[in-house]
This record gives sequence, structure tokens and C-alpha cells, in this order.
Amino acid sequence: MANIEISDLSMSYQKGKQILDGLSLDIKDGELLSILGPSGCGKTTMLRLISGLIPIQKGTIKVSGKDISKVPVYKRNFGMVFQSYALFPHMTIFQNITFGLKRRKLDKKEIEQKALDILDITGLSNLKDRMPSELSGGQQQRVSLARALAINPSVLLLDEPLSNLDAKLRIEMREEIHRLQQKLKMTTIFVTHDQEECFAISDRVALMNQGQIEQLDTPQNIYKNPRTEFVARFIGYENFISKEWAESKQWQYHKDIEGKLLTIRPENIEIGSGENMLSGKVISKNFLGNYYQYLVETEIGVLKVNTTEDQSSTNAEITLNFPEQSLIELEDK
Amino acid sequence: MRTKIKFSSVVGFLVLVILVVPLLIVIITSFGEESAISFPIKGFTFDWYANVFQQPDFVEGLKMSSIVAIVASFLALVVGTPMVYVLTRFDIHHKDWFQTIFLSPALIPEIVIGFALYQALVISLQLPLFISLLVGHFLLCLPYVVRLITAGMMEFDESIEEAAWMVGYNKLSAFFKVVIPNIKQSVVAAFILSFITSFNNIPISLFLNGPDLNMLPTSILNYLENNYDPTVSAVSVILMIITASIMIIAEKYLGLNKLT
Repeated sequence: MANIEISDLSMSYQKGKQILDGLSLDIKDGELLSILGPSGCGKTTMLRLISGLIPIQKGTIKVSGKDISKVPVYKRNFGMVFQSYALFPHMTIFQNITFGLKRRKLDKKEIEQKALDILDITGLSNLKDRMPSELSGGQQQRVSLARALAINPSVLLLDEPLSNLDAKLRIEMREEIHRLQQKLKMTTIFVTHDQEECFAISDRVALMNQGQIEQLDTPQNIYKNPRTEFVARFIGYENFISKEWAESKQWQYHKDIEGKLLTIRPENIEIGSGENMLSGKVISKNFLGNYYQYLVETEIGVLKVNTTEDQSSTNAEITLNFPEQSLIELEDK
Repeated sequence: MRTKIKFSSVVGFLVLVILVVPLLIVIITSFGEESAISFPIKGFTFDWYANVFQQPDFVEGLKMSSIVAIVASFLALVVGTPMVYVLTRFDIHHKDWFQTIFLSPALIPEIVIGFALYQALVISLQLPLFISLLVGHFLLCLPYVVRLITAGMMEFDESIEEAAWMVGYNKLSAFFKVVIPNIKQSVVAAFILSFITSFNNIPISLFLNGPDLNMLPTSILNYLENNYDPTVSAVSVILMIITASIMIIAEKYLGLNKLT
């Protein structure tokens, strides 16, 4: 297995647009690390640099201590799952899976045995003689995963593997990826723009913005303690309050880092009284299934408040409470 | 609405008549017994078909036209396919210039290409006629190859090729084992269109033929200068049958939409 050390990776296109900007990242052996970010943040470029599909301009990538910058893509022995599945359309499922094995010094029996093993653990045995076009999207992505794993890669790279699937299959497939990754203890990099799917299966998450990593942490820490405004907004913090104003009111908040801004999730604001109070007027109320969302106009602007129960109505004057532990200070950027 | 439908069906019918009737007349005249082409025909005979195969110019022409068409189409594919691959896959400076250059033979009048090649290759460089002829027909075929293979490459998902690299194939083997099998239809279509274009060409062949180098269409033209008998009709029918059967086979295996 393998650990990956990425240091000072930069990449720009001829027109001068900087895609990656001196990015460094260590991925531990057997870890599932997600790269999360909006489109255009450089996450796919980063994965393609690691895979070798595009050449490195600046910086180094080491796998198990060995610099792979000069190793061509076909010699890296990395598994990759593409967003578009990218199965070989002219081959059966079995041939798709053995295609990479045929390139290795194995005899026919070994190749067949390996392929059958992979088909077995991915639950594809009964589809092995079908053509890719005869399979559903979920099945095709499963084959794509099996094909990547068949060559016994040192690193598994997943490029938005779930985004072409429908909601139910997406959950099923991500559990499958997680199960296989745990079983094979394979170092895995998972690129996605979907916060939920990434939090569900990752050991750590690297949240990217404009070619840099904004925060690298466990899903729980990113969720509870976003470091910057960008991270906070990306993972659903919608209320931002100036620290200067909060201090003038002697509010208590969660101090961890030093900055100018405080943030709180809509569901963490309480209606009622407590340590940090602010009054306002409900200007709109929406029922969104498992919660109600209120827009409350206050002296510091319109705030979003989500509650599980119906607690107020439009035009009502209410008091909001901001619990100390949920009010988080952000770093300036 | 009704009048529009009427109008287009009238136009369609007229086009069909203008195109099909003369061809039908050619077919009918090839069976006439009289020694000059006349319509309507008197009597019925297959003699003119037999006569076609007694004319060394036609037999040699058919052979030479087939050889040139096959070799030129093959060369155009061998040169054109990798070229298109490079142009569609890599970020190359002045990509559009290259594309225009490779398509340009289709924009230059064929008779000009024929004359220019005659001047340059035969007169100045003293190249053998056969080679010059091949060069001419290669240039004729190249635009078809470029267009059809480009269309095929555009439809082909790049990630599929990348997937082959990822599992251990270098770019060359991935090209042959993954790219080519998936653009096979375009390759076959390009070959067929090239073949037909080359096989039926006159302007280029006219400049680059010689005493021992006759192409079928130019032989027909030469024959017509001295004779006006139904042999010409018969050989025209044979030419039509060859072209049509290739088209029908292509249509059956590829679908006509690939060829247009």
C-alpha cells in the first residue's frame, strides 16, 4: 500500500489562469481522503496530476517516498474511476476487467481467477458476459470500480464517481466504495462537490477553493469548526455576524481562532431567550419538509433560522438566542 | 400547409425524373442491337457487355482504377487517422490552420490539382506517372478521411482512452486496442467514400494518365471520342453497379447517415 506526499503543487494554463497554487497535502496509507470544493476550484486538475493524465508543471508528488513526477501514467499502477464510467464499449464486462491484467506478467489462469475474485466482491458475477451498453448506470459504475481494483492498484482515484447516478443509487454506490476501500485498506482519493457524500465516507476532507486547500480536517471538525468564511458557507453556515458588534453586546462565543467574523448555522439559532439575545421581526416563513425556515429581520440584517417545530408566524416580533457553543469565530482570509 | 407539401413533392418528383430518366435510358441503350446509341432500342442483346471485356483499355482501366482507389484510400487512412487523432486530442498551436490545410484539397478545383501535380511531380520532379497518380488520388481522399474520422473522434469519450492508460497501456497500444475499435465505423465509412470518390474521378486522372496507365473513367472518355456505340452504355452500367453495390453494403452495415 502507499502514502502520498504532495508538495508545492502548482498548475496554470497558458492564458495565465492559476488552477493550483502551491498546494501541499499528505495522504496516509490506507486513508480515504476527499477533495471537496465547488466546480473550478482545481480538484479535478489535482486528481489528474496525481494520476499522471496531465504532466506536473511545478511541485512534486511522492508515493511511498518515491517521486513519481517522471513516471508515465501507464506505469503508475493507480486505479481510476471516471465520472462518465468510461468502460470499453467494445468489450464484455469480463474483458473490461481483465484488460489491465493482460498487460501484466500473469498466466491465463491467474488472470481469470483474479477477475472472478473481483467480480465476486463487487457483486458482478452474473453480468460478466454482458456488454457495457446493456448495463444500467449503477452497474456500469460498479464495473468501472471493479476494473480499477483488478490491477491491484497502490492508490485508488475517484473522480466524481457518483454524480451521474440518481439519489438512491448514489447512496448505495458510496457505501459500496466505502466497504471495498475498508476491506482492501486502499489509499483512496475521492473528488466530489457533494458535501454529504464526502462526509459520509471520508476519513479526512480537504476543502479546496481557488487552487488552495482552505481546510484539511475530519468531516466532524469541518462541520463543527469551519475555519474560514468560504468553508462555513460551503457547508451550510448561512448567518454571519461581525465580531466587533457581538463584543459590543458582550456576547459569548466559541473562541478558537482569531478573526473578525462569527458564524452560526440556521438550525442552531433558538427562538426564545438565553445568553446571547437579539430581537427581530419574522418577514417570511417557509415549510421545507423536516423543518421550518424563518427569515428574521434584525438590526444586523436578515438572518436565517431553522426550527423543527412551527414556533412563530410572519410579522411576529420574536427574540432569538445564539448559543455560545454554536457561535463560531472565523479566521480572516 | 397543403400547398407546401404539394410543392415539395412536385420538386422531389422533378429531381427524381431528371436524375433517374437519363440513367434509365443509359441502361436501356446498353441492350440495343444497333451499333450507334439510339433510343428507343431495336432488338435486345448482351453483346456490348461482352465487348466491354474485349476492350483492353476498359479491362486495364477497371484494374488500375480499383488498385489506385484501394491504395489511395488506404494511404489516406494511414496518414489521416493519426493526424486527426493528434489534432483532436492535443492542444496544438494553429490547430485550425492544420485542419484547413488537410481539408483544402476539397476546396481546390480537381482539375487544378491535376494540372498542378502534373507540372510539379511529372514535369519538374520527373516522378513516375503511377506515383504521381497515387499522390493525386491520395489528396482527393484525404478530406473525406479527415472529416469522417474527426466526427468519429468527437463522439468518442476521451476518458475511455484514459482508462486504458490507467490500467497499464501506453498511448500507442491504447490507440490500437481502444481508440481504433471504437471509431471502426468511421474508418470503414471513410474508406468506402474515399474509394468511390477515387474510383469515379476524372479530372485528376486525366492529367496523370499515360499510354500504360489508364483509369476506367478516362478510358470511357477516350473511347467516346472515337466510338459512339452502346459499349459506353454497358461500361457505364457496370460502373454504376460497382458504386451502387458498395453504397448498399455500406448502408447495410453502417447506416447511410455515417456517409453523408
